[in-house]
Amino acid sequence: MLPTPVTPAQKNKTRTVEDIALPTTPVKRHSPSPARPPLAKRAKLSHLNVSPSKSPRGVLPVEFHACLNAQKRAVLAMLQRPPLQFSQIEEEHDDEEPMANEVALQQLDDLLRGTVERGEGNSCLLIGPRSSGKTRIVETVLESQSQQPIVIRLSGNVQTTDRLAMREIARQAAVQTGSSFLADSDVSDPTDEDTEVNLSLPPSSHLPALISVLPTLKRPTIIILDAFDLFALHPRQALLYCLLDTAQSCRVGDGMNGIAVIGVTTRVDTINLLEKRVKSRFSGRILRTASPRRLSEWIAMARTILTMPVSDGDTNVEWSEMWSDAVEQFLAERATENLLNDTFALTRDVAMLNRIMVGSCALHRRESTDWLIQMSTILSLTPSKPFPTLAQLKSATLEQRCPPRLPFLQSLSYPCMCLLIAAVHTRTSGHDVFTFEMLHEMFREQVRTSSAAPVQMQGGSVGMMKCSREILMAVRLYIFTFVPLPNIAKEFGKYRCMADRDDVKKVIEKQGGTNLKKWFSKAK
Amino acid sequence: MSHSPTLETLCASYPSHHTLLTTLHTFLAITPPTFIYITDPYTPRITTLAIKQLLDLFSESEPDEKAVYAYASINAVAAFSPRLFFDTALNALAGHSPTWDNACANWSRDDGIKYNESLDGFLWGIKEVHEHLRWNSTGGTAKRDWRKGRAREEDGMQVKMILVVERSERLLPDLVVPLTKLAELTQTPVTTILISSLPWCDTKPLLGAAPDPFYISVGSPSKEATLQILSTSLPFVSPSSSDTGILSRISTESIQSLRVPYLSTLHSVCGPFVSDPDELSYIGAVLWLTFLDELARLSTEDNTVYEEEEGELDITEELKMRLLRAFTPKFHEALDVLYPRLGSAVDFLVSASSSQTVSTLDLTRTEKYVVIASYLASTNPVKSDMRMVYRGSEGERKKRRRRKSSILTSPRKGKDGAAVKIPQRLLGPTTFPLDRMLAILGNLMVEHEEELDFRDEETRERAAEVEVGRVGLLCAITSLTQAHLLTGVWPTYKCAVGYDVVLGLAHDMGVSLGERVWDAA
Repeated sequence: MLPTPVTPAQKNKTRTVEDIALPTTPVKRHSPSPARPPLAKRAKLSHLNVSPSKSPRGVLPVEFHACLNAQKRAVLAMLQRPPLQFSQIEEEHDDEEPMANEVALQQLDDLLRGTVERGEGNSCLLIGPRSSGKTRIVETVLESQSQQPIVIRLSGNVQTTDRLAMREIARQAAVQTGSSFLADSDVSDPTDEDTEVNLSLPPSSHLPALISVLPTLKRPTIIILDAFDLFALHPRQALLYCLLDTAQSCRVGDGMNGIAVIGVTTRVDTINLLEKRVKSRFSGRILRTASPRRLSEWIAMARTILTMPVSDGDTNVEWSEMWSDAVEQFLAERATENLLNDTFALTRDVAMLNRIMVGSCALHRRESTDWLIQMSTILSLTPSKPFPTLAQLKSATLEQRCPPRLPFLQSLSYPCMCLLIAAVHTRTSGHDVFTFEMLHEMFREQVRTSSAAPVQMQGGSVGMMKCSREILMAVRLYIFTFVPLPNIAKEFGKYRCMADRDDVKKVIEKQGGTNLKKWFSKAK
Repeated sequence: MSHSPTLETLCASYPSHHTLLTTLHTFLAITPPTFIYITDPYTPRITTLAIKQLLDLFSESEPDEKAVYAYASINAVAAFSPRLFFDTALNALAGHSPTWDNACANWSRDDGIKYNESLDGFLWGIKEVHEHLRWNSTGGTAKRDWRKGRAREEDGMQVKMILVVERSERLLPDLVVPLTKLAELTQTPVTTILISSLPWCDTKPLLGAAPDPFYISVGSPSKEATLQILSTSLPFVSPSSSDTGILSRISTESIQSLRVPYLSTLHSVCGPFVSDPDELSYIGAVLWLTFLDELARLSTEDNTVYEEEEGELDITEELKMRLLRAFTPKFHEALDVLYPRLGSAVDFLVSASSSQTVSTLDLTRTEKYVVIASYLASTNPVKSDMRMVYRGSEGERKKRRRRKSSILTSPRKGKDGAAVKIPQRLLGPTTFPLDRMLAILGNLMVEHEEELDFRDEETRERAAEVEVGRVGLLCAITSLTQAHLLTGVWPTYKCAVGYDVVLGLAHDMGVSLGERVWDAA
């Protein structure tokens, strides 16, 4: 049984964002937002503010827990499958051409409609940067077709040879048509749609003949080649030749059912990889996708995702108003915009935006989970943050945008620090590549010097800690790259340090003692 | 919500993994990203353990939830071939364990279909497992439908599959890209979690073939977290009940109360050197019984007067302090031996009680000469041989150059901005031809071997030449090669013995090594 954090009298009152969570920095509203609470509500709000002691500031009342969870579920689900088209923002750039993704979607739709409805043979390439929506466009178009075509999905990363690809084509076609179609028709047991599909593959000698019969299947066939550029690297490009040749020679009205070959790739010069005979069979249609062009589109996307309406019956008008108000407030903040702008300047990858959003939601959810735990264990009511805030966005951006290159450097043990400092010293003396023996020699020397002139501090000697050679050898240092050479003893292997002097300096200043700092500062 | 208490206990037992666990928990409860990458350079094994326990929470939950969870946890080191990887993953996801009775067959939905032959087969296997789980969860009402993909997930039961790969830096290179895109390739709700000590940017495939993961990183365990892990992972061993000594008069509770100071002393002594809780618990487990012996010794000293008295003894604060102070050097000793695994735990305890010294190399006189000569040949530059080794037959003792190794101690640049020269001793041995080593050996013998029958000064060198050509010496070289003190094959060899050992041998033979090594320490 969850304890109620508010008195029953307060429960009946309408709440707005302000009394639940406020961002750390003052909000500057540029224009009166449409989502601003009406006057009557604000009057109630002011009434609430009169007695803030009863309602702990920042804690979400119990009745909204379900709403919060539902909202999170909706937002997270949306983040996994981001929307293809954004809600239209202010049309101040009317003269610009429509967005690349819309054009690509329309063209691909036309193309596939030709194949599915009229039985044409088509081929095209879909080129665009990573996570700009290529696969999503294909899936969207496939779902919108009037008739369900046979869809064969191949990937250059999985089907690394033509033989594997043909086996996979046979298998997928057999599963979707319900029969092993290359098997001769004199096998006279009719396969039932509902029972087990006969998955037996045709003998491998029949496989090359398989592609040419694809247009004769009962329904039109659509072949999606993911990582198309890798298929072009196969010897003689035999598979591409066969597929494109079949697509080109598929004529309307020959009793054929149409075939479309869609290549999906990020590589811009893919068309140049094709051999002449293959290129001449390719239709030459190239559709392009692109990431958002302007920051405003990015922010609009974030808004669309965050204000995703809750689908199931948990809708609560009061909650959704509160939520959308909080989101508006969050996005309108100058700092939020700056942060997003920084990220946008680095990459326009939509997946990055999604990860940052997921990250801030996850953090957000983490805190609220804490809070739920505390609620359920009747500990205490600490203020929690049910709405996205700048701090969460910041930490999520740090973690997702550019994760630390050397996570190992966050905290180091004493032997690791010694080895690192010694490595910096060897680099200073002009040796980028070093052996363990060199580092150990320096360490030994340093220990000797520091114990020769012991510094007394508060009655105790603060000389360098000794550390046996074997311990130094046993530590795992992920910062050293090893140059493997045969027949070399471990201590004489050649290593190279990946960390810069500045990186090491940061760690030493954070964790190292006086001795280590002194030793490090000798390396000029 | 129903998992909250259990999640809470899990978080309490792994305090440094709190963020990771809560994030994953909320992800799994709703919609996990398809690819998560967890970087943990400090405690990857414990991280995997915690994640497995978290996944157990989900997969063992009541079926009245809206989703069915299945997970497979694979160690990429163990799955060193694609077939092993595929079989392990599919068997675990389907909850199938091969038994002797069913001929150790792998999981298969339809008889006779193998999923382990290629990557394609594996992807089909994932789809089949998904269908199988759906079929089971709905009690057999679900229809098989290949095409509709995710659209059908909305109705009723969801199946969520999670594939955890630990030490993913060792994954077979062909498997990485397909695993990162597993959900897209199989059109099923499967999440891939890779756990590694290395960051993703070091292990990711070339050409941006894999999508970027959702990053989660785990920091180093704090002191409290380490102590918490230590206290849960170390079983409490009380002194045996048959013990009639003084320990039997101390109550188990008071001995148990020593555990916390014991562990915290262990951490404060060894913690700066080793942060891994596993290593610490190894050292702690080895030393615990020795610690109790020390307790018995100290309390016997204390209680000599009261020996006749019966009843329980208390451990006073003062005794506790003395005990811990007396025991601290033991931690240091154990760390030096056990952490680099120079000896096993049993060996350590035995040697600690008997205090034996490690015996040095047992070599014949000739072999010792050969080792010294080959070390010199491996370390000294070829051009320095004349100066360092040859002393002339006339007894002319030239003043040899003695170079102090001031090279590494003062990090000055060499002349003309060139890098400082590093002594060969630190760079490792070089190979040498047998003839060169024999020449050095002859010179050593001429100078130091008085017992050889050299008739007069003129013929000494010739006699030494005869001496180094003897079969016995070649046999010595062969036996040294077999003992891996020399490496290489005829006629080039390399010395595989370190400076310290050679220094000891030279001392035995009366050879002053410092004079003969070009860059002596």
